[in-house]
Amino acid sequence: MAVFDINKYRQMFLEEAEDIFEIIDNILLEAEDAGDMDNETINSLFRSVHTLKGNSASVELAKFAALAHELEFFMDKLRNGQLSFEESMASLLIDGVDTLKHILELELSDELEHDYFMTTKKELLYKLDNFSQDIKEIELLNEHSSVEESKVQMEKEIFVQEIVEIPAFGMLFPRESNAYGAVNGGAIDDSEDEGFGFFDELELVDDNGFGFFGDTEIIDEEGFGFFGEPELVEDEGFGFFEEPELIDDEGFGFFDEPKIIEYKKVQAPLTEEKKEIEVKDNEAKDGKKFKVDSVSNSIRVDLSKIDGLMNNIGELVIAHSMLTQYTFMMQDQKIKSELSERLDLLDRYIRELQESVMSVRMIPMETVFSKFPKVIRDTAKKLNKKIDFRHYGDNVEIDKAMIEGLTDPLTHIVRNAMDHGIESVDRRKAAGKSETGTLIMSAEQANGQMIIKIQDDGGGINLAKVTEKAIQNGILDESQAAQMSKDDKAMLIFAPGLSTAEAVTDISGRGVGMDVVMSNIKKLGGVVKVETEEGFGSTFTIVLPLTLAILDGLNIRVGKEQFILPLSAIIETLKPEEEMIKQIGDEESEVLMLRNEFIPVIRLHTTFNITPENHKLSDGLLIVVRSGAKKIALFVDEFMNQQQFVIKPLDKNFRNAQGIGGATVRGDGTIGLIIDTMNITQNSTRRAS
Amino acid sequence: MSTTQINQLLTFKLGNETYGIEINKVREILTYPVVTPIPDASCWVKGVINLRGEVAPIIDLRVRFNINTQPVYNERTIVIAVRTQDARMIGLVVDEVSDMENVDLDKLYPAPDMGASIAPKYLKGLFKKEEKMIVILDIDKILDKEEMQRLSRHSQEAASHVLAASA
Repeated sequence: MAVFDINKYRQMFLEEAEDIFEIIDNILLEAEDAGDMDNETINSLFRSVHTLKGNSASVELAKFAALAHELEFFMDKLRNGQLSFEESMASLLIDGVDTLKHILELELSDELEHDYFMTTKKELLYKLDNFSQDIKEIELLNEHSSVEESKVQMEKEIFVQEIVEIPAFGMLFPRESNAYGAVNGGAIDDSEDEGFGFFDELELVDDNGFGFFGDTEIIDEEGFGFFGEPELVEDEGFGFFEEPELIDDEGFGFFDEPKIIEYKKVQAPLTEEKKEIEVKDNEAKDGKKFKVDSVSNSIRVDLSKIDGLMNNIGELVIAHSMLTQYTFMMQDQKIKSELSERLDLLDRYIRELQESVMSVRMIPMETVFSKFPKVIRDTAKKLNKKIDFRHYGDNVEIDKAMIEGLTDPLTHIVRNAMDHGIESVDRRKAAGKSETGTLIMSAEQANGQMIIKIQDDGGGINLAKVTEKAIQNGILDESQAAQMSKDDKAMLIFAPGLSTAEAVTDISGRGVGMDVVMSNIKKLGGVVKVETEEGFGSTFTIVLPLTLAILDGLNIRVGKEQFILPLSAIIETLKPEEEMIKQIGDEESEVLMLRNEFIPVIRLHTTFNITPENHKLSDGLLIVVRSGAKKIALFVDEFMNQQQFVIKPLDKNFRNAQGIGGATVRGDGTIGLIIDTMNITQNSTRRAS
Repeated sequence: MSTTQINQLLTFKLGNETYGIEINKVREILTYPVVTPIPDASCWVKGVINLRGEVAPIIDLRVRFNINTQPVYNERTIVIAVRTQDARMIGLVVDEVSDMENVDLDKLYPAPDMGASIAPKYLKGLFKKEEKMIVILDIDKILDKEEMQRLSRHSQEAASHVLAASA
């Protein structure tokens, strides 16, 4: 797999862009309807365009990016309140976005002429600048669209002619026939449109292209066989497409000739292609060719369907444990043991089913990482910096649903690290560092959580400058700033609109990136932290929950309440001797002296506000658990059985509670709370200060 | 809201008075189940239950609005499961479910500013039926996510003050 196959990345970008365009369109259409737009909407609109701009630049769609930049600039003004939203703005923006789409198509098919681009851009700018002059603008709008149409038309015509002149090239065959087919249909314009659409796809298609075009050998054979006898080609071509009933039949006289076997392969995609064209012909000519064809052996399934499946399995697990619990109460030993045996079998099948459904959702982190070498290379070139990118944990699997929300924040962090973090070659030399900066991305799964780190060895964050800027922007006042710890100050970079960069570049500096990072990670239910050392670089740590995971847990009892502790977090359990318990300072700060370690003890009764059964640690039990990089010992009254639990979010209907990572439905239908060891530590350390 | 038709209300009792909520918010009516308490929750959040596979909080409206701070929970206690505007499933504890009532939401009496333990912002209005009054609750306001979080922070702060005082 070539690392820098631009088409693969363009394909990815296009899929994303499709979604983003959809979002933008919806926002704008709504705004047009309502005649108003609130700040939140403007912000999300701005972010969408920002993402489009950034991503398109990284797949070398410079013109598209330039245009998106103009739109972004305009929206920035809206966002800052330099302009206030007016009703007619929505339609202007919708038109602007349409122009953007149009340019994208042209640029992708390499058909974007410089002059045309310049006029389009100028017109757009003109409209944006003269916004207040409504009437003038509408006139211009109409004019513009007609100009645009005729211009495109012309280009397309030229294009078609060119192709007809060199018919010996196999690849052109289907295109030509498209044109013919549509000509027969009597819609010349559309056929030409299709021609363009078709080539768009061809450029983008990578692995999941049409079987036909993917296989060059066949194409060649096909092309030559076909065009070797030009007269016949034309006759047959017409004959074929003039008879629509044959098409539906899928048995074209022409292709059925058995002497060239490969044709059979050709048949199916061609028919599809043809059908699609027919459908499109019937559609209004809105020029929407924004479709990526994917004829491959994988299917795109809506994640909500898989979620539904997971939920069903979850219910199955619950029903199973209800049955198991019921079996325990049986009197007849013979029936009991036989039933248990069968239940065990059922249990195994359910687990297998669970695993296969989970595996549908899980994909290796490599898919995420593989996006970055290209981004980094380009950005490094642009910034004239030398950067060595390394990534670890390629095989760590991550939920597909997470990836979609993760790519944006990761890209922003990487861009920021490169632009602001890693210094220029000269500065690095001056600081006594090696010329090449290092950027490390790693992924690991620990404690039922996904931990992703992005580490650079750059100059770190200038905390003083960040704080100063935050005060300037009114995010906090000076007395607040004085009280803040170093880590808290570093977190300020996630505040909206905060950028310490002097100039706005197309890589970063507008101060949107980092608040996108924060909001996206939060949306995934995760946390992002930053540690920075001036002169030595910064590390961003993203901790994501594995929300979907079905977890193996241990039931523990604290007072009269029962909780569930994730097995993955448990290191060991013990009944402590009195001399193992030491105190630091007051009575409440107990530590467990275990072999060569001192482990802080947390009484769960205190954390959860429950009347304890045992007061002395040596009367109860201690569970040593992992909490991030540290170890803590939890004091409980009893531990009970071990079981599988389906994690359900607590904050879907309610909110998150301290020390609680989620909930589950127990065998008896009640809710059990799952302890989050990471969260518990945070609380008690806060208490200590 | 410009949709102004006759709305069906589900009416229930909290203490001595009758209250109502729009029937289209109601998903289910159940007897008081076994509730799992949430450690740091406010006193009016009784805990969570399993409601059609979802983890749903149970809120005691009697405690929430100081109608009865020492309520009894027995097999006659009723939970009304509602679905809020933002699709959260929440159970409300009430004393008893009374009846259905047709009400024109446009013809309500405004709630008085004073003399009510339920702030007017939580009310849609008052409805008069013969000599009885039905207080129509605005469930989306009462169960608003941010509002609930604000309130629980309040009670937490209050609790920590108490702790600090006792220590």
